[in-house]
Amino acid sequence: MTSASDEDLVRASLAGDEFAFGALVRKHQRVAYMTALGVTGRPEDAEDVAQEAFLVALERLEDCRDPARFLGWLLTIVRNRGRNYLRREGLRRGEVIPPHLASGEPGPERDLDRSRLTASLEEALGELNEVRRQVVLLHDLEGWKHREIAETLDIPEGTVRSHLHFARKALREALEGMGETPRELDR
Amino acid sequence: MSKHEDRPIDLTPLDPQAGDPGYWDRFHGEVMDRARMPLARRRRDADVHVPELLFRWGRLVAPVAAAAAVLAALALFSEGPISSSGPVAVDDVLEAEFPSAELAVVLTGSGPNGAPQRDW
Repeated sequence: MTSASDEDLVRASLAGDEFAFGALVRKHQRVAYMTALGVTGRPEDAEDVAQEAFLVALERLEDCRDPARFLGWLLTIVRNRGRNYLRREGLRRGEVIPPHLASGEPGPERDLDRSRLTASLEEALGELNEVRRQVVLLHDLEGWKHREIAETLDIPEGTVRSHLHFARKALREALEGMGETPRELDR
Repeated sequence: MSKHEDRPIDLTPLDPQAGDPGYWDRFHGEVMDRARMPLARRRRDADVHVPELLFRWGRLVAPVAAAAAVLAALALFSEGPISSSGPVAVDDVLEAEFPSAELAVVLTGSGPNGAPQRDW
């Protein structure tokens, strides 16, 4: 079932096939989470947003006009949910949190078992704007190609390259500012 | 831009699985738990077979047919019995429908000038 196309899985899910929907979730849960993290900048919010997005997608599956492009449609839901989530949270806390300033403020229970490097990375990531967070996470963590990111974010490929460059630079500077030595990958 | 600046930073600590190996299974399980009801609803909607369709159709149509029958009966009785002018002779019916010259031919078995007709 995991090798089935999104188109087949969406069609089966429309009829309530639990295995098909489960396969869709399994296939796209990482990228949904990373996109949500790119929008919110906070892991605990990203989890809620990504899970909600899958359920919203299931409810509105008839609206997915091109099932072969399910992922792009899902990620649009993730981004919209993420922005609404930030807006709601900002209102609830009585603050106005511009998405690009939504910094990682880890909850106390998670902070205990999270390494200092992870916390620093989250904080550094929180200093990037939404687009750069998404670009760097999709490219450097999920291994997406520039072209794929450009398509899903609806921006030119050159802009993706530029965002990626500045995102890495900003992350590196932020981490160094926190006294961390960023680990680099040989790619 | 320097080569150093463009080298990717290791972001794997941001993968929730890095500190929690069962993270994605749990994530998946939580989504599927919440998806159970909407999926069941979809199955119910998709699982309509022919007998059920007929039953649903019958449930809709039967009351409408019954109502129509009642209305028709009411309309019929409110107009009273249909008036009848008594037995109708075949000749009268035929006279009403046929031109008289042709009718004479049919009734007498002879042509218009008294010539015998061909056998039927």
